[in-house]
Amino acid sequence: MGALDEQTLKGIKNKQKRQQLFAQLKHEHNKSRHKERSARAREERENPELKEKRLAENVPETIDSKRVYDETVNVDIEGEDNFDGYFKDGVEPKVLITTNANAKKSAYEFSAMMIEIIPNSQFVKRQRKYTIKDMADYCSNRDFTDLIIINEDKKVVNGITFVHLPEGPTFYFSITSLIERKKITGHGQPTGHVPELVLNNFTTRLGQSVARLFQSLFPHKPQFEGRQVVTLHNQRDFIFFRMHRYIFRNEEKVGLQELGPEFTLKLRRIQKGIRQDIDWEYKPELEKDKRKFYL
Amino acid sequence: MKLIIACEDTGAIKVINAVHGTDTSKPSTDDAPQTPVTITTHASENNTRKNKILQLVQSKKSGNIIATRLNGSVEVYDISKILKEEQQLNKETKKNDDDNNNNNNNNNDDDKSLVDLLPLIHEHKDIIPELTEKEGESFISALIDDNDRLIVTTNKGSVFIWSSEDEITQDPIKFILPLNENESIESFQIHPGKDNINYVAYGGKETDLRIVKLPSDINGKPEIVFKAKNVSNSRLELRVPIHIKKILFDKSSTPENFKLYTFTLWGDMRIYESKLGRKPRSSILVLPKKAPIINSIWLGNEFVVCDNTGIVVKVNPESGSQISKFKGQIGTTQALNNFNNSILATTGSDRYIRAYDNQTRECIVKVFVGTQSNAILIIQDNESLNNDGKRGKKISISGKYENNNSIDSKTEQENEKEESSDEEELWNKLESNITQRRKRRKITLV
Repeated sequence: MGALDEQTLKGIKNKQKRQQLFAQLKHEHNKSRHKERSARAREERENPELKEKRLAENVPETIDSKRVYDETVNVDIEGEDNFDGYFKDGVEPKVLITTNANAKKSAYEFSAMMIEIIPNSQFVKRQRKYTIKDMADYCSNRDFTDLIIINEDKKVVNGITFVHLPEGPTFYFSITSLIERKKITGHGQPTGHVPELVLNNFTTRLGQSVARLFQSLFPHKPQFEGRQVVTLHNQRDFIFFRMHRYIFRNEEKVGLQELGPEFTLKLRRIQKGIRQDIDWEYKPELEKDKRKFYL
Repeated sequence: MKLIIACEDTGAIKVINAVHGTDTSKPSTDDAPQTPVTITTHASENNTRKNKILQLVQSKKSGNIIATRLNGSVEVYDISKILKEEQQLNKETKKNDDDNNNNNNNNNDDDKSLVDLLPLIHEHKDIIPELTEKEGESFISALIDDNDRLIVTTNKGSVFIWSSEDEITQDPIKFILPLNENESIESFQIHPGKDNINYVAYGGKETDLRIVKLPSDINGKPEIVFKAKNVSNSRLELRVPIHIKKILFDKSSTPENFKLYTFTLWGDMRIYESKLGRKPRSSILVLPKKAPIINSIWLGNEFVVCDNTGIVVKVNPESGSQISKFKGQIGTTQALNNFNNSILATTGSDRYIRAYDNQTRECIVKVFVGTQSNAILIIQDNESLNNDGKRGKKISISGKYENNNSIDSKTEQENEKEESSDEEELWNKLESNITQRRKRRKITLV
């Protein structure tokens, strides 16, 4: 039976027989693979250098590693932008959170979570008569530095708008894969401490602007005794939000407890001012090349 | 190609020197090494985002660059050194070859010359007060008319006129355009033709198009010669809002029959002819979908219109139909520049400058400049557009390319002949099939 290959298999007209033979073929293949692996493992156990060599040579290719060249990666930010109030003048952030008009329960639950996550923030119920521009004026007059509007549609939170005050810019992200805290097994409860912020992989000029936005939402100095971390990890233009509490168990081991929630953001639009001219906008044709990333 | 851009984030001016075919977004490989691009920053001292440049124009007479700033000042920069820079550099390299020992000294000299390449020669500060509030006064246009006068306009209707850019330090002639309360100007244009430069058109948000004649003596008042009427109400009997973003005069316009085009915040182009009445002759959506038109310029006998979503289209002035697209922009395209009706330069919020060949619509220069910019000028281009290999092939249809590579073209022709004979056979077969089928059908019918 050892000479059986796929060509002969195809020539067999009885389906049951063919299936039987195919299963046999697969089993043999698996067996040989396992044998090969165990032999290699044994060899590498005796000679660890071989393993290192194999791992160094066998680097899998990913879409991330095949990323196309982008000249804006790690360029210096030239001149000033609207976040200079936070970065240069040291203004402490003060955030107002609201929802879309006629929001449903899920939007309020999400805003309750956001209040816990972002220090020095408060919630105001949205009234239908006020536009985003009206709210921005209201907030600027009361020294708010940011306005966050949570968007809900058909009882699902699907978007979030960040308006930096007083002069913009406005960022709109879509929200997907939202997992509430209570659905995360073994989750903890966040304390009121100012969390630390980890911004991962925002490299391009556009990514730097987005990172500056997130940074400007959190106070300059985290309270380390809270041992809480907010992570915004960018991978292939999707921004993953996670919140954890850490503990140093000993000099080598660190324990992590997820505090939640989990959600994924995707940048859809950046506008100058308060929803004025478009600086950058997501279009499906931007994703024509799978290996081109913008953040 | 040499381009000048105004940086929004720093208030500086950048000069970009790039050859045709440059694309900084592509990595340099051994097969296609990156063509050298030099970007130099000028006028960065004492300038910030708060006094950024609003408009850049080039004087037709002297070639100097005139810049208006947000803090209410007008500046004149001398570009003659930049234009000569190449020759100087060539000379210096020759010198370097002559005495290699003094290399370091020469480099230092080079650095010094870079600093002064774009010197500020004239400046008129505080023509209008610095913009502090949202509703404050700021420049909306700077234009050079056919008599080489410099005309600068503000959104509150003040017009400042200098007879030439050398006299910018002196006080200008000032007129106030007639405006009602709560009206503001967003676009201003001068009538073409040396005799008609006193006719100016303006419009803005809830300020419909007006043409006024500026008086020849300083104490006179501008008189309105044409006042447009809004378009008819919409199907639901609602008033159509007015928001003019750009005005362009037609080349055939005369003071007896003004012919001009306005571009609105909703992507419409309105054609006015003063003889045919005060209402626009037609109002056409010129963009693929409704979006604010940011800028539009003449490019040959057509318009180029850009909006705030990355669309740059060439539009037929008569029908308002889109002829072609210039692709590649992301976000708002702030500025357009036409160089001898052959090259179109664009810049905007995506921090790239792009130059397109008007004929082929191909992007011939694409450079990342690091800052958002709101004004662009092509000041020099010595390369001919047909030299490039790629474009040469396209032109081969008209026969120019064949002369250069006669052998290749012959083989190509033979190939084409073969292909055409194959095609003919196929067509014949198909046709014979069809006739057979028809016959069959007839038989069955019988």
